[in-house]
Amino acid sequence: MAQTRTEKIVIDSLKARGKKERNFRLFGVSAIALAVIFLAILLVSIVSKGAPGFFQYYAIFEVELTRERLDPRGDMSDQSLFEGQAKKIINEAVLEFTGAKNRSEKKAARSLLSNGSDVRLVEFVKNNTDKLDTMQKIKFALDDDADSYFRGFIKKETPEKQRRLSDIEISYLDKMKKEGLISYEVSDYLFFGSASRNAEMAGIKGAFIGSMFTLAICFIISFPIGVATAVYLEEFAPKNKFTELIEININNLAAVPSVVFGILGLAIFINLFGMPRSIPLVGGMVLALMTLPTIIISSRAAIRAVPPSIRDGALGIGASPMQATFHHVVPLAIPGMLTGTIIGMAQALGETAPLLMIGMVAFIVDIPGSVTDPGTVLPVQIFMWADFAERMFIQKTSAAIIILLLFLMIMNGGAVWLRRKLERRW
Amino acid sequence: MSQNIENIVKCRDVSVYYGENKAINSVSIGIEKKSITAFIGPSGCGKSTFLRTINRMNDTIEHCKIEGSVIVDGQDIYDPSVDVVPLRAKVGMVFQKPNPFPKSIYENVAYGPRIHGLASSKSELDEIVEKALKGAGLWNEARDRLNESGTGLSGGQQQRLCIARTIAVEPQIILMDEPCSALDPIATSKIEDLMSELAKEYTIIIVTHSMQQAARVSQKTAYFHLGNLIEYGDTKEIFVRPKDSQTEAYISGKIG
Repeated sequence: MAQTRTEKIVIDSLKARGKKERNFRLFGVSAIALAVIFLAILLVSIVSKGAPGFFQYYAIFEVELTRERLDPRGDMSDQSLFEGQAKKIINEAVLEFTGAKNRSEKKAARSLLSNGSDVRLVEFVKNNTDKLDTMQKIKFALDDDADSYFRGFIKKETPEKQRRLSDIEISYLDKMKKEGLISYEVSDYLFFGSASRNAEMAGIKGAFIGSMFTLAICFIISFPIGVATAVYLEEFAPKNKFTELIEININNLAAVPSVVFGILGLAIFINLFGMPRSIPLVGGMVLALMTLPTIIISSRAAIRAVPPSIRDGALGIGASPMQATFHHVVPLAIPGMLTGTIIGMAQALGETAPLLMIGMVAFIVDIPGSVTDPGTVLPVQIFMWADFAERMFIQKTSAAIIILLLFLMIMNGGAVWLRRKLERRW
Repeated sequence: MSQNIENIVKCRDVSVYYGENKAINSVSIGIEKKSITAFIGPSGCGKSTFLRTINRMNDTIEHCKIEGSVIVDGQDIYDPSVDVVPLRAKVGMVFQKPNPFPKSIYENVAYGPRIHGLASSKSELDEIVEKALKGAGLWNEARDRLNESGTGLSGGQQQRLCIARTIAVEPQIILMDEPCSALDPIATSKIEDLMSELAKEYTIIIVTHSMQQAARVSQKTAYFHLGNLIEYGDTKEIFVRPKDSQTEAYISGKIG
C-alpha cells in the first residue's frame, strides 16, 4: 500500500518524537532516583548516629538501705528523704568498691556516677519501702565522661592532661567493667528525664509534654478560625476589592518567615497583653498565627474542589445558603481541610524560631503540668542540646531528632489515613 | 394560545444581564398549570438562563441582573420582600448532570422535607420518602437499598433520585434543565414517561436540546434564539406549522 504524503512525514518524525519522550522519562526517573538516594543517606545517617543516643551505660552497685540514714524523720516525706544521706550511701559503696584511699582518689571515685544517682536511690526507696534495711543492687547511670569512655570517645592512649578522665578514674572504670558492674541499656533518662545540664540525665519528657500543650493550643485556636475564615471567604463574602485585599494578604502571610510571628507574639501577647513568657499557651497562640494561613488556603482549596452541582442540588430544593454550605459543602471538604490542618500542625511541631522569641528556650527542669506552666518544646530542646559542649549531648540530640521525625511521620501518616477514611466520591 | 387555562408562571419583559452581556432580551411568556412546556433552541440561546430565573437560581451567579417581572402563583418573585427558600420549595429544579448528594438514597430524598420541617415524625418522613420514590418510579429498584449511597446508582436512576428529591418537597413547578442529556436512550425514555406521569400533578418546564424529546413530551414549546423568544405555542403547531422562518430552520435541522 502506497504511503500518503502525511503518513510519510508522520512516520519520519516518529523517531525524534520517541526520543524526546524517552529523554523526558529518563530525566524524571533519574530525578526520583536521586531524591530516593539522598533520602536513604539521610535516614541511614540519622539512625546510625542517633540510635546509640537511645542507650546509655549504667553501673550496678549494691547499697545498704539503712532506714535511719535514708529517712531520718521516719515519715517517708519528701523533706525527710531529702534530708537523708542517699548521696553518702552511694559514695560509700563506690569508695568501698574502688578502694580509694587518699583525697584525690576518693574525688575520682565519687565523680564516676551521675550527679542524679541520689535521686534515683530516693525514688527506689519511695517505691520499695519494704526493701528498707536490706542490701539492694541498684542501677545508677554513669557520669557522661565515663559513658563517653565506654563508647570509645575518650581513649586511654591520649595523654592524661588532654582527656577529661584521669588515669585513676579510668582504672576504676576498667575495674567496674571487669567485675561486670557495667551494663549498656535503653536510656530511661532520655524518655522520662527532663532538661538537665548533666548530659547523662537529660531527657525529652518535659519538652515533649510542652510540645503537646503547645500543639493543642495551636489546634484549638487555628482550626476553627481557619476553617470559618475559609468557609466565609469562599461561600459568603462579597467579591469586592476589600475581600480581594484580604485574600492577597492571607496568601502572603503563608510566606512570612516564622520568626516574624515570634516577634509579633512577643510584642502583642507578652508586651502588650502582659502574658507570661515561656508558657505553652503563648507558644501555641504564636504558632496558631503562623499556621492559620496554611489552614485557610488548604481549606479554601478543599471547598473549591466540591462540585458546584452539589451546592446547586441543595439550593434547588430550597436549602438556604447556610444549609447548603454546612450540610453538604463543608462535610465534603472536611478531609481536605483536615489534611491541610495536620500539615500545618506538623510544620508548627517543628518550629523553633518563633518560640525562641517568646522565651520558650528557657532552661526549665520542671515538667509543665498545664499550658500556663513554663516549658519548652522538642525542636527548641534539640536546638539547646546541640549547643551544649558535652560529648554525650551529641547522641541525645540525634536521638531527640529521631523522636521528632517519628512524630512528624505519625502526624503525616494520620493525615493520609484521615483523608482515606473520610474521602467520599461523588 | 389557550386563554381559558390558568397560567401559573407569568413573565413580562424579562431581560437578564451577565455583567454587560444581555443574555435574555425582553421575554414575555405564560406557562400553563399542570402541563409540560419545553424550551428549545440552539446552544447559548438563553433557554437555561431563562429557566433559572423562574426559581432565582441565577442569584448565585456574580454580576447577574434581572429586569422585568416574573410572577409565580400570583407573586412577583423578584420583589425585595421575597425569600428564595420558600420560592425554591415551590419551584423545584432538576439539573443537567444527575447530582445526588453523596449520602444514602433515603437521606437524599429526606433532605428537603427535613430542612423544611415537613415531617413531624420518623414514620411520617418514611412515608414521604416512599411516596416520592414511588412518584419518581424508583421505589421498586431502591426499596431494598435505601441505606446505600445515592451515587452508587446508575445515571438514569440517579436522575430519578434527583426527581424524587425534588418532589419530596411537593413543589408546584418542576424545572428540568436538560435532564436527559447525560443519559442513554433507555434511561431517557423512562424519564420521559415519568414526566408525563408527573404532569398530572405538577407543572413541568423542561429545557432540552432534543427536538424529538420536546415533540414527544410537551404540550407547549417555546423557541429561543440569541436571547429572544422567537415563537411560543402548542407543540403540535410549532412542529408542524412553525410561523417563524427561524423556528422552521431550526426544527428542520438547517441551523442548530
